[in-house]
Amino acid sequence: MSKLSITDGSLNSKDLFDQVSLNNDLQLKVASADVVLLPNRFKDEPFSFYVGTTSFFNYLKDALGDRVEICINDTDYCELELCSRQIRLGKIAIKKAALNVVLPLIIGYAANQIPPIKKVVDPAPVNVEYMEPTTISFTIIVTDADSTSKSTKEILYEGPADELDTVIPAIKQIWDE
Amino acid sequence: MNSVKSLVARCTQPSFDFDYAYKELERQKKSLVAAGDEEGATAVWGMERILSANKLLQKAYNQLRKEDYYNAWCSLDEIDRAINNLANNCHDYYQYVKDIHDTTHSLQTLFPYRLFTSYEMLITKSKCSICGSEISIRQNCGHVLGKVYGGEMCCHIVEDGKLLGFSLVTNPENKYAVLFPQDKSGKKVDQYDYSILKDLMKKWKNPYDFIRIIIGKKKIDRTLVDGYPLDRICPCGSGKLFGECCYGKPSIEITNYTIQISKRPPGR
Repeated sequence: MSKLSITDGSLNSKDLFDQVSLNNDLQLKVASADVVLLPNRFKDEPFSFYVGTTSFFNYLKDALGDRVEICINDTDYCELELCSRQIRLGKIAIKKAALNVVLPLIIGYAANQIPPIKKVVDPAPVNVEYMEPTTISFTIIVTDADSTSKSTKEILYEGPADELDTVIPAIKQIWDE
Repeated sequence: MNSVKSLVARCTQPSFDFDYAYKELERQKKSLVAAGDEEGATAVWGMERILSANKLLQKAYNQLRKEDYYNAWCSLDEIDRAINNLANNCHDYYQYVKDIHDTTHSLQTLFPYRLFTSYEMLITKSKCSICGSEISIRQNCGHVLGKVYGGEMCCHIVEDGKLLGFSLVTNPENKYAVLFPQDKSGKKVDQYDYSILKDLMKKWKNPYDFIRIIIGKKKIDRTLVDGYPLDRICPCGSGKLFGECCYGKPSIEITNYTIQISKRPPGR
């Protein structure tokens, strides 16, 4: 079962980035980046990113270079490990103009993270969730080029990672309408 | 590939000395690493994983024979991880363990475990197992998690963190975290029903026999479950309480497991 929702965002990109106390140099880099990984707040703990973020960030960096940044100071970076089996990409702020470039990258990354060999029991036994395919979750916050503009959208997805290549076009279609 | 084939053929024999084989491979790996042969070292690492898969299969089989079910479950999980890591780094070698992988998945479906614990941890400091560099988001050491370098797989070693809590999950990363209650003395109580596995072990005589599970549905007469408590999970496998599910029905559709065991052809 997958869930996809697109809602209006309540914060502009400046508000999103200002939640984290970045040093001056990073503030400029983050504000100018097309893609910014945003931290989570889990149980009132310091800002953190899901385990796997270093891989995702490096993957995006290899593809997009300085167009991608992460909204945290180096010294404040920490990771949250939740041990249910899911690829968690967290929150990603993407400028509207970069959406068409970034969405295929997310598909490619997800495909690389899926275990290479599928489980073979077919049909899968009832109520055995650990036999089901790997799932992925992420929230994409589409922002305007104008960082003070409040016309943002939040796209939330949670579902099978190997179905992303059908979900992403649906996202694009809804977005374009 | 011939050396891999030879290794696979030998390690399935009852008299195979795994400890000696591991030492020999370690020696070869060190020699290759010293010579700067990264590809060769990765290949030897792959052969180590093949050895592990075979050793663990034999271990799981013996554990099942002794009705040591939870430890057999943990062995099967180790096999799954070892083979997934192998496939990620030495995909050509997967053919030599595919049958073991299939057997592992088939066996896992026969276990009654459905609920697991999952820890929530904030990791504040970790280091790369290959170069020892502290993991920093913007200062990438270049080593990719899960890939093999110098004959060793890259992991992140947690040096500082904080345990935030536990959740109950049905889809765990760590399948060893099965829930067991405790009695008043604190001793683990294993209340699970292993009858399917017990029936399997009456027929399964060789760990390398092929096991094929055919899962279907079968209708049983409602009278066969007379007296079954209403507040227990329905035998149909819906996950609902019996009183809210099939209690009033004339028949109940249950999951039916047919297990086919066949001998492995010689040389395979």
